[in-house]
Amino acid sequence: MTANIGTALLFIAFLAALYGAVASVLGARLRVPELVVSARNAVIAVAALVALAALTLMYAFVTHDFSLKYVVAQTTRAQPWPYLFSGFYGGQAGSLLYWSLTLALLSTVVVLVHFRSDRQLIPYVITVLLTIESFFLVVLNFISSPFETVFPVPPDGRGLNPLLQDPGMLIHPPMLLAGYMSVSIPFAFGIAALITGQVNNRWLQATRHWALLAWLFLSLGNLLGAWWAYHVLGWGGYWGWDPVENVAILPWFAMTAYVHSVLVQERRGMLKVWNMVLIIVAFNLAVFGTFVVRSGILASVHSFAVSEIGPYFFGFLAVSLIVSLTLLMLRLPQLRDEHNFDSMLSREATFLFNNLLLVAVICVTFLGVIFPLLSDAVQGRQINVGPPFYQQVNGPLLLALVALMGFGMLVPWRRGAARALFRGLRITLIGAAVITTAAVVLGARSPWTILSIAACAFALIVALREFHRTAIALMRAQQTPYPAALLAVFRYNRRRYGGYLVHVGIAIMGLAIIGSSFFQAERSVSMRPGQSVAVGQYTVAYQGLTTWNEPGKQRTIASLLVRNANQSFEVAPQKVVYQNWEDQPISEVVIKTVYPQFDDVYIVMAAYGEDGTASFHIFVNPLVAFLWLGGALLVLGGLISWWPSPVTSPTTAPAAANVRARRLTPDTVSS
Amino acid sequence: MAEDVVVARAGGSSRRAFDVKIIVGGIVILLAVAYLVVAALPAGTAYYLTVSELADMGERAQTQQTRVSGNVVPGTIVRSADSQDIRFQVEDESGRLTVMYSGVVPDIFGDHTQVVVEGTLGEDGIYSAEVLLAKCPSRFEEAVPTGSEYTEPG
Repeated sequence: MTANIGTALLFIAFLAALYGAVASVLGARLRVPELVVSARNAVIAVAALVALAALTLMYAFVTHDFSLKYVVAQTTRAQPWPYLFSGFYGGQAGSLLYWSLTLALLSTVVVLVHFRSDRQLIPYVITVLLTIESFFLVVLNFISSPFETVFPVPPDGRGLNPLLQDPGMLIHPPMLLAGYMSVSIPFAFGIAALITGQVNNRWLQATRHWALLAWLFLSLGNLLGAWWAYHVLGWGGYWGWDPVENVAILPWFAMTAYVHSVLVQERRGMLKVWNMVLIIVAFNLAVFGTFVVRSGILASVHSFAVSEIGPYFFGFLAVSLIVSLTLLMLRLPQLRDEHNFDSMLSREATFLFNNLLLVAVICVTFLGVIFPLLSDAVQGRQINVGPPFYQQVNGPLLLALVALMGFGMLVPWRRGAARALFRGLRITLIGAAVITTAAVVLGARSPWTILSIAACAFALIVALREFHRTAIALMRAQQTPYPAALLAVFRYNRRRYGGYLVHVGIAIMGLAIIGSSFFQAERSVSMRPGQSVAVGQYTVAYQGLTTWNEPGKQRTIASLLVRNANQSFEVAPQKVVYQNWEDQPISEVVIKTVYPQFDDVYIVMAAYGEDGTASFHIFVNPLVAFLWLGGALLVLGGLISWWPSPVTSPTTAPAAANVRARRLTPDTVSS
Repeated sequence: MAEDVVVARAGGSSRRAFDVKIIVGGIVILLAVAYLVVAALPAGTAYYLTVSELADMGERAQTQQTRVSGNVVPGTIVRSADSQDIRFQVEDESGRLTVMYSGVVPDIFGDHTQVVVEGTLGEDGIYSAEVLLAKCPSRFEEAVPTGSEYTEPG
């Protein structure tokens, strides 16, 4: 019954999406506004239908309807209820449904917000969005349906893999998938601009918030993924340059480049072709991400078994690339830049180089991901590239990006005077030198390490000083105390200072990455109760094992005492054996952040024996806590930047305009 | 009008001067990236081989980093009592290979598990793996990241 309802809903949704995609473009071409209105209604109808289908699946989960294959695969009767929800997107069919739901809901918001304000673009935006939606619905209806039934109906399900029964897993996949999907919206506007020839800045302004939203979702998705890997997987790290991680970060790099380069087009009418290319690339990288994850063409730790939907995604990718690049070619004459670059010492030039570096990172990472396929085609043999490749190539590029990030905040638009630039730089350079020297004193030796620390410190101080200077100016102008002025900075120019807060976050994350990758201590050891081992500055003593039985699982807990020069604490890493998953005991990692060093003491129990012997993998990871702090600032900054500005009334504007006019003029045109 | 022409020309020439700088900057980045890629490729690469292809490589398999995938032969897993060393055999269509590995074993590793090992062949014919990736074969579809990934060198 549930299966029939769900299947029917998805099929009607498919028909509605197809109708809307065609009606919208016909309505625009034949000038029949009623058709476009009906297409808008189709967008809303598709969202409602897909939402109902999702609710139907949810209902099947909650009622333990094991007549559905998907429910059997993802849940058991004993599964705690929050993980019934992660079962929703835990498998292929469900994640496709989640995906099309997200896209349908976002599309609905798009038509509601932009239908009146962007009359010329919207019919084509609807067509593009519904075409993407139709593709997902084809796959859901005809290839991989979550409403497939199984007979005879089993009494209980197989259940979600225990590794995924973790709070991080409740939010990481939805965020990342939502990020993938929200890239579709600026892409749809870009394509609509190309089709209509309305290639002025309107499509950029209309999608400014959408692009930032996509960037935010992608940031959150990747950060949560790293957090989950670090806290759950137990290999002591948060990023392994695995193919699936790479394809998740690729659209993030593209969107990061895009949110910078659109500023250049908005202000100076330059980089028009570049922006189109970036958004096309970002969207196709998002599709490529799904393709890689779902096709099984690459050996990854995340490898989903080879599934039959790979070729469909590949076909979709090919069509979308060919169509969008052809459209771009046809419009090239209209995309001529209105201005030229005035000087290398200008913000637009730093944005251009930031973009070139980001594109280089994208190309390198993409090359690494497809290298096994490439070498197979050329040499007839698959060659895999591992983390050292990415570290050696992307490391220096990212370092240059961080340095450029600091530099970019210093130079003004159009043309900067070198003297004015260096006048304000002295304190910054002294500060960066102090931090770098401190790092050398604390043990940094290799030139790369020292250079990286210097670059991050430089960027961090530049960003902080930007806040400080503006706060001082506001304090004087508005006669407010300093802390209030510091907050007022965000009200003053939300988009810019939100962005600078992101820069602060990036610089802090950079320091954390340097700390945890260059100064990590690790040791694998097997101990009997009473034995102890030294790792870095810490001594770890093993005290013994205990076993607990809980409903649905059995825990084995090791008790360890960790000491350093001035403190000691107990930790208890565990192995948990879940019912139905006896062959896969799950390690519960312990991570204890030690202050004031900000070392993470990270211990995994690898195995244990009958006699109480247990083997452990022990890491001391310095500064990882700053990674999460930097990540939180990055997300907060992105959120501030994204937050829609209140419509500023002209009466309040002059007051702000008096404040050190040049420095404080908002660089955004409020829309 | 005449003034416009002059201005345009001035803009044009400064544009050219600047475009050269941009192009030079772009080329510098391109060369740097190319250099980095070429320099890093030997370090980061591993050949995907079958068990018999590995045997055919002869002595070169002792220095060249390789990747072999196969299923763990049931009953061959031997864990050492006092360390994290583990020894097992993997099997593909072309043959069997004995593998030594030291480090955290993925949670889903066990008999019949499909694994990918990366490392070099020892003189004694035992494959010494630095990386052990495991996939779970028991389910139609899987979202199982394993416990062991590359541990970044300190």
